[in-house]
Amino acid sequence: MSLQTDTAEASASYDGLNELIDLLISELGIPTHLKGFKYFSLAINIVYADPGAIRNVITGLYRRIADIYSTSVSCVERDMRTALKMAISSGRLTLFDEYFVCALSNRSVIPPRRFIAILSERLRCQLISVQASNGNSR
Amino acid sequence: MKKEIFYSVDTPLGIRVTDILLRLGISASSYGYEYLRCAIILAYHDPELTVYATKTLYPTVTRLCHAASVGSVERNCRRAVERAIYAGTRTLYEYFGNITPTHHPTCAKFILTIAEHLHKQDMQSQNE
Repeated sequence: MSLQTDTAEASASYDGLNELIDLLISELGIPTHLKGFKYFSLAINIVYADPGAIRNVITGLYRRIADIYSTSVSCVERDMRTALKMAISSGRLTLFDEYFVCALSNRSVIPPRRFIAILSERLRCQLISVQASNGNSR
Repeated sequence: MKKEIFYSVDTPLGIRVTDILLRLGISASSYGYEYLRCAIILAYHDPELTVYATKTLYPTVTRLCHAASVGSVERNCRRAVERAIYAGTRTLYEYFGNITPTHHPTCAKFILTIAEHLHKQDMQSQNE
């Protein structure tokens, strides 16, 4: 199965999942013009659809993203890390503190892998509780 | 069937456990996070499992989460708890357990504390 069908299935499971992810990342302060923004968006999409993808990021997740955007794995990782660094140095740290409790205890850079994992888990939690409350109201 | 009930995140209990673990600062990319979530859901249903955690709880988690060995489950959980407590979420843990830990808690104690907190929440919501 190719990645395009994977992400298509992921976005089909919830209307506007891509837009939601983009909104979340840009609210955290990652500049939208960076390449890392696109990579993060795609990575969270993949991990949301398949939680096991977070296990081997270098040969699995980053490799797939690099194939899609025709770059190398190290470029993907570096762009993500740079985007995250800019977000931490200039973004809204209150929101960061709320999302990444332990990660920012010493105001350092967190690995992109942890960022992707925590955001996809948060997203899944929120979406399921939203769906449950909609079901109850009906 | 049983496995799906325990391990699934999509249940209301799974969401509550996930929320607590993330608020405590346990990183979602670690193995310990998965194992702790599974163990807390198991301990919520049967608190007696944590009495002999090494013999009963960890083997069950090993089977459900397809972990390598019982030792790896214990080690990953312990590391995750350690990291979360040292990163400064000690006050939150005190709130959950109503205790002041002098050192970082053992893995089984952590699991039981969160499970008891969930039971307490259930009691409160029933009284209301």
